[in-house]
This record gives sequence, structure tokens and C-alpha cells, in this order.
Amino acid sequence: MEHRSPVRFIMRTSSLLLPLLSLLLGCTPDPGVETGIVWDCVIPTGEEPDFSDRVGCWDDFGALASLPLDASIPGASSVKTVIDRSDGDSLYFQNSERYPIHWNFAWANLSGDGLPLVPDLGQFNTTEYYSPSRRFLLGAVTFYEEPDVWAYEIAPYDTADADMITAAYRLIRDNAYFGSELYFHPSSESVEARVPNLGSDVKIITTDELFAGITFQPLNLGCSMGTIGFYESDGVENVSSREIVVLDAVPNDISVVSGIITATWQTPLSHINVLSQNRGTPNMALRDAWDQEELRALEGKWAELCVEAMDWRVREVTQEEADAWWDEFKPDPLDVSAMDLSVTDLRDDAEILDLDTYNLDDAITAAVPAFGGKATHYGGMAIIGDAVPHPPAFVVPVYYYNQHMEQAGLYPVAEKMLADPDFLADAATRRTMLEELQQAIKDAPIDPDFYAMLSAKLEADYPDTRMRFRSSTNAEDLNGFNGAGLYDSESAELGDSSDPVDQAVKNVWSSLWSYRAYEEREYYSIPHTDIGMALLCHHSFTDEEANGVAITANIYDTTGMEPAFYINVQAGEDSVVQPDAGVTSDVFLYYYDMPGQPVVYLAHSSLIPEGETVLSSAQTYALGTALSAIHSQFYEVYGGDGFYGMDVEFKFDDDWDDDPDDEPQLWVKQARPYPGWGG
Amino acid sequence: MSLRSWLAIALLVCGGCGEVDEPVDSPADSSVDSGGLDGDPATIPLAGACAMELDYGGFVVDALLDYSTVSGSVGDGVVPMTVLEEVVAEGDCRALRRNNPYCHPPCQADEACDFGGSCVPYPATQDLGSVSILGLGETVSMDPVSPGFTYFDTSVGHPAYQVGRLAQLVIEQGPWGPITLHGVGVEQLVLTQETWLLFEGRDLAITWEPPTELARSEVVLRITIDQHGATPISLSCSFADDGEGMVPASMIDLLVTAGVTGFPNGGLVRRTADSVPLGQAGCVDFVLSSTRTTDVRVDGFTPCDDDEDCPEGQECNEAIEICE
Repeated sequence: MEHRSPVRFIMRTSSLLLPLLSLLLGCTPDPGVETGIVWDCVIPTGEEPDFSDRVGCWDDFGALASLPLDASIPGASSVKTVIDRSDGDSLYFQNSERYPIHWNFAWANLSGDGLPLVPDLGQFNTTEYYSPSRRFLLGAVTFYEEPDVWAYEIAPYDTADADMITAAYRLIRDNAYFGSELYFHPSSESVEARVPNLGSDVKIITTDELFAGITFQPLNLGCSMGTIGFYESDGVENVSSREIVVLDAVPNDISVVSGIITATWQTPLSHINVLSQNRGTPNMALRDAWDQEELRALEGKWAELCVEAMDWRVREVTQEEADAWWDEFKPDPLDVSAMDLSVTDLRDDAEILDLDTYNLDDAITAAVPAFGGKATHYGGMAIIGDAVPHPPAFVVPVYYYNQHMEQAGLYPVAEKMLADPDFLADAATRRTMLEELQQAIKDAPIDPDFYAMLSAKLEADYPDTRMRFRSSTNAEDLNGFNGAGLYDSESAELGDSSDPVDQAVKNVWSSLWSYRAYEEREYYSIPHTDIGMALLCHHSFTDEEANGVAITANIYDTTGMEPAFYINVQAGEDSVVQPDAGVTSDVFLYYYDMPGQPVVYLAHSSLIPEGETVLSSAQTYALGTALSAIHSQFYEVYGGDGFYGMDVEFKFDDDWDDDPDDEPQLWVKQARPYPGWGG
Repeated sequence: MSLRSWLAIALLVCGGCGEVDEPVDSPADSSVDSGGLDGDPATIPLAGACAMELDYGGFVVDALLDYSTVSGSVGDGVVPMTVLEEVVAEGDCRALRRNNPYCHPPCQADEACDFGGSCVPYPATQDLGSVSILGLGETVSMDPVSPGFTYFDTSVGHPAYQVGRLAQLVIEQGPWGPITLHGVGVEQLVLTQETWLLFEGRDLAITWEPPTELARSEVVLRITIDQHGATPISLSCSFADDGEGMVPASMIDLLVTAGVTGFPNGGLVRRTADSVPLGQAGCVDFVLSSTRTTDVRVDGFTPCDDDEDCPEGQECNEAIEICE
């Protein structure tokens, strides 16, 4: 079965059915909009003009439409609109495939020859979305397929006043066959603020109302083969790596599977999606997935699942096809640098990277084997300056994990386990043997000299402070493998017998051998005993006011033409990446680089009163400033090769503020390369 | 289609804006030909272009390769975000960063946020009545076009001015009273490099044909390597008009590090510029220029429209127009 893509549907309809009707009737009738006016197509069949001043039929729209630059609401196709106020309010529905941005079109078609000159892109962008005396009114008409809605939209950062919006809406409404069904969709909070002053004839539809009519959410794009299995979200312990799982809800974690379909909405930053992105396996949400007939009919059978940006499809395959597919697409072994055991000191965050010898890229590469991926990137973040407030931290290098394993004689135990046929053959046996090894790591005594050194460090630099000990292996937070959620962190404080430091350290070390970590490494053919764990140590946040995850890029815009930060944030300590069932976070795009820094909310927190937001405007700006600085800092390492963004974890907490009377302050906890969304 | 192609289209479209005529007068045989205007082109004071933080706007007579245009507008203030921060300066060049001020509560539709965190009225372009430019052969007289009181004339001859001849901008109305500014026609710029190739860690040497006559012109360089405009870093260089200039390696590195997308391009502008203060915090300028663009390549980045543009083993990422 193939599910309809609006653009594809347009093309299919345009290329097959409607031309035939056109030949018979001389025009293409409006397929769905009832008006008192009889509309005729204005674009001859087969032609793709630069623009049209009217959209008379579905075919006309298809000839001009493209996918919107921002795909945050799936299943949409869009035609950009330009109204030239210096030329009698001339209306142009621009060919949005040929001219992907307004400036392209205006520069090519509306400059000179009796019209004012269109300036270069930089000046155009400075005036035409912001100036009260701008020449153009710029927007787009978008058709949202599933909710069957036509919407006029302006850019989230556009400061067009209510009169401009009303005038543009009316002009488009009166020159398009779908005019009677045209809504204005305020695309950001700042645009929404102008709605009360719009003309009374301007029909409004909100983002929430659009989302309510949408059933499909693409999370990670791609195709995969496996057997279709239905599971409840709390029963996924024993899923197979060759299963495509259909889940009633979003699980907090899941070991390697071929594909994921959840019956409830996901956040793109959830652990299971980040893992899917790392693995390159398709992931999607489908509201009726649990009872979906096509999926139910394939339960227990081999199938191929493909998730695309606009649609998805599933088909039955044979086991032979699936085996061949797996042979072809088995992930390449991940090359992980061996542990660097030459570093034995407890290293402060600003000293982790050797920037006297290396550039940032090489310094990160050099540091990961000794300090692990998480701590190394923390070191790169810690040197940015005031824009990125972070807890002071230090690192216990991997040397001490290796020392612990050697002193306890646990490497031979691990090697023997890894070669055990029963371990290799049976998941339940694997789980049991890994738990036994973890317990042995926890039970073995910690090296007394190391513990004395650690205690002295804590007493000197972090007195009377509850600390957080965070895993940092040489196989995580890497470009191509971030290992989200694979390992544990623990809190402890010197002198606290209920949470002793030595036990916390060993507990975190032991998580290197958790079942899910083993399975994930095995999937990438990573040699398990080559992996060591450093510890990133800083003060513990005990009752933060908010926490969240952000990407320093607009994950819905792969062109880079609509730069924004994608932010998930939740009130209090509730996780945004592993939320409880039914709990939603504030999810928004933050156009930090655009004047007025507009915010586009895609979802709202279920833990705060309706109408409120988790972060204040000032907090959001502080976060944006940090994200911008982090994005710039790591660009030379991870940028310049397609989609680039950093995955950033943060908290807002007033316990560590300089001024406790101020609102809770930003603390950035982590920055690592974001894997993108597949495809 | 790439932005390179758009440029070509724009040139074609605007080619009809002004006829490709013979120069409005034969080339001056003396740099002191005043063209009937008062003043000596060789000595008349030219105050240069407005500083960014004072720039209320101005007027430009620009001779491109195939046509010339006149355009301009003047506001009653500076849009705060257009004031760029100097990140690094070396030699004749400056790297500039665009910053975005923050205001809370957010500014209204007719306001702009300034760097003090206050909302200020968005600068409004001003009605200056009829604006004239003398010394272009036929006097150009322009009335404002709404919205926004912009001025333009795309029917001027090409080149619109004569080398070495004085031109004069005359504004008789408007909030600042009468204003007169001057310019001197510059020789048409001839680039001597087809492509500028940027290497990280290397200076970029720029060459062009120096003027044959006594010239009062300067040459300004622009390079854009992030066609999609996401980068906040830009590069500005101002060279003496002697045929060669150099962009330091530090500037190249900064630019490349900030991002490379699409078809990079660059250009040189030979110009004279005059300006006058407007009140306490403003400035208006008048530029006579010859603008040329060129391809720019960044080592390690291959721009593309499709896979055919890419070397073997790479595919075109059409979203960012770069082979990967």
C-alpha cells in the first residue's frame, strides 16, 4: 500500500487524470471546493510558467507548487505569493519549484523594466519582511492534505501589520478557486498577536487545529525490512533486531529493531528516535497504527517499511528478500579509537582539549580516547565563554575504568562471556550474563589511591556538593554514533553513606555492560573490550525548574534557508526524551537570528496551565544565545557537509544562580553532533 | 536552478531596463572637465560613503556590464540590525558579524529593536520630492514611488556617466532641506581573474585593470560564499584603485568556517562616494560606481545543481547545492 503524498498526488492527478479531462472539457474542474463561481484553469496543460496571477484549478496549483521549506507540519505543498505594492498590488503566484525563495522570483521577474530595482538578497531580506514601507507583501498558500485545509501564511518573522495581512488574504482569496475555503494560519506567536486586528472576513486556523487533522508523523526517513510485530510500549524487552515494531505508545527505550511505528506522537528528540537516526532505521508515528488494517494483516510476516518526508508505505516481502536486504545494508563496522591510557590526572573542563597543539577538530579526535565523547565535547563547549553557562566540571579519564577492570580480573571474564555460544545465541542468557558482569564491576573494590585522589579533588574544588557522575565512553557522542541513553549517570556526595561516591563511580562504570549498550555496540560491530568509560563530574541538579534538549538547526528545513533552533523543554525534572505516557513538552522552533526572535510552537507542555509556556522570553533568548555560540563553535568540526546541528541538553535552575531573586538561570550540560533525520 | 543562473536571468531581464548605448559623451580627455557643473572633478571634495551606523540611505548610479541603473532611498534612521559588528580587521579588509538585538516585550510591527534593548520606530523612508542628478548627459529627474518613497530610473544610457566627469545629486525638498552631493565618473571596471579560488590558510590576491586616467576612485570587494544567507559573517574590503588587492588568510578562514552553501560569488565595485551628515546621527551618500561580479570557488566545496556537476563518487545535495 502506498500512502498519498500531496505533491505526488498533485503530479499524479495532473499528469494522468486531469489532462484527460482538460482535453474533454477544455478545463479542469475544481476537485473539491464549492463556490458560486465557475473557475477555469489558467495554466495550459503541460506548461510550468514562472508565475500566474490566478489559480483556477487544482492543476494550476500543482504546476506552481513545491514542498514547503519548513516541513514541521507534514503532508503539505505550497505556492509562494508576492504582491507588488509599487505596481498596483499586482499578485503573483510564483513557480515555487523554480524559485524556491521570494527573492529569486522578484529578482528575476520584478526588477527594472519600469519597476523599481530589486536589491540583493541581503538588503531584500532586511526590508521586505520587516519594513512598514516595504514594496512587497510576501507569503505562501499551503494546502495541508490530511486536514484538507488551504491556508495563507507569512513567515514567522514577518512583521506585516494587520492591514497588510488582511489585504494580501483578500487578494489571494479573490484570485484562487479555493478562495472560499482559504484560512489565514498565524505561523508564530508574534504573527498570532496581530490576529485580533485582522479583517472580520479573514478566517483563522491555528497550528493546533492543523495538527489535529494529521495522522502521520515522519521521524526518521528510510526503508527497512523485518517481521511486523505488535507490542505494548512496556513490553519491548525481547524484541528482535529484525523486527519492525508497531507500538501502542512511545517506549522510553528499545534495543535494536528494524523499524518503529508508534500509535502516539513522538518528539523528534526522544531517545528512540535519536537511536533510530543513528541506526538509520525508519521511525514514524501513525495515530491509528495499533488498529491499522494493512499493518495488522502483515503481523508476523516479513515486510518492507519505507518512511518518507510526506508519506509511508509497507509491503509484504519474502524472507529471502529480507535476508538479501540485510546482507546488502548491514551497517559498516564503526571505527572506534582504542582507549588512551596515558592520561591519569583528573582534568578540569577547560583543559580537556589541547588547543595549543591542535585545531578544534583534531583536538577532539585526540581527546576522545582518554576522556570519552561526552567529556571531550563538554571541553569544547566549556571554552566558549559567558554565552554558554555550564557547571564547572572535571573528568576522570578512562584509565581508571581500565584499572578497575584489570585489578578485578574482569577482562578475562568479559572475554569468556563474549565467546560463549549460549551468550551469543540467546537474548535472555545474554541479559543474565551481562547483569552478572555488571554486578562484579560494582562489587569489586575501587583502587584506594584513585579514590583518595578523587576525594581530594572533590573536597578542594566541590566542597559540600552533591555531584553527578556521567558516563563518557570512547564510543559515544561521536559523529555517526551518539549512543543516546545507552549508559547511566549517578549522583553522590562525599560523606553521604546512602549515596557513597565510590559506589556511584562503579555503578556508572558497570553500565558500559548493560544489555542495551551491548546490543547497540554489537549492531555496529564495535569491539566491546576496546571501549572504556571516563566520567564527567559536576554538581548535581536536584530540583531544576526546567530541563530540555535542543538542536542548533531547524530540523524541518534541510535547505538552511529557514534557520532556527528546534527546542523541546519541560517544566521541572520530567524528561523530554523519555516522557511518561501522555505527557507532552513545549516544542518550538526559535528563529533566534531573525528580528524579534519569533517562536513557533508545535506542541505545548501538559504539565503547566494552558496558555503558559515553560520558558520566559528572557530565558528563551539566553538559551538561543548559547545555542548560537555552540553552533558556531563546532561548525569547523561537523559543519560544511550537508545538514549540521548540535544536540544540546540544558537545564534552568535557580539553586546555583548568582542572584537567587532572578528567574532560574540557564545551565548547558552537553553538546554533541546531531545525526539528522535520515533519508 | 542555481543563484548563478538567477543572476544571469536578472541581467537579461534588466538588460532591457536601459539601452546598451554609446557612452553619453565621448571619454573625457581631461580629468578637469566639469560637464557644465560648477566644480573641478579633480579636486571637488568627496567625503566618502556613510559609516554604517549613520547610514540613512542614499543614491547610486551604477554601470554594470550591460546596462546602468539609478536608484535610491533615504530613511529617517538606521535599522539597528544593519549595523554590523567588526570581528576582525586586517590589511584593507574587515570581517563583520550581523547581530540581532533582543527586546522584551517584542516590538510592534512598525518598530525595530535597538541594541539597547528598546523598541524604536522603524526608520521610514522619506519623501524628498523630485530628485535630480546632473552631469549624466541628460539630467535624470526622479519622483518617489510608493510605498516607501523609493527612487529609480532604469532608462538611463549605458554607461550612465562619463569617465572623469562631474556628476551632481540635487535634493531640494525633504526633512533635511536642500542637499547637494557630487561624484566623478569612473572607468568601467575590468576584472583580470575569471574565478577567485579560496583556500583556507592562504591569502587571496585580487587583480583588476587599474584606471588609465587620474582617478579618484576606490575599489570595494564583496564575497558571498553562503548563498542561503544563514551565516552572520560577511567580508568587506576597500582597496586603493591600483589594480591589486589582497584578502588576508585570516579573513578567508573566518568566512569559510562560517559556512559554505550554494554557488559562491563575489564582485568588485569601483566607485566614488560623497556624503553629508543629516542632523546629529545620520548621513546620506551618493555613489557613482562600476560593478562586476565573478565566480568564487572554495577549495574542497563543489557547487552543483545536480549529480552531473559532481566529481565521481560524490552526489549533489540539492538542498544546499554542494557535492557531498
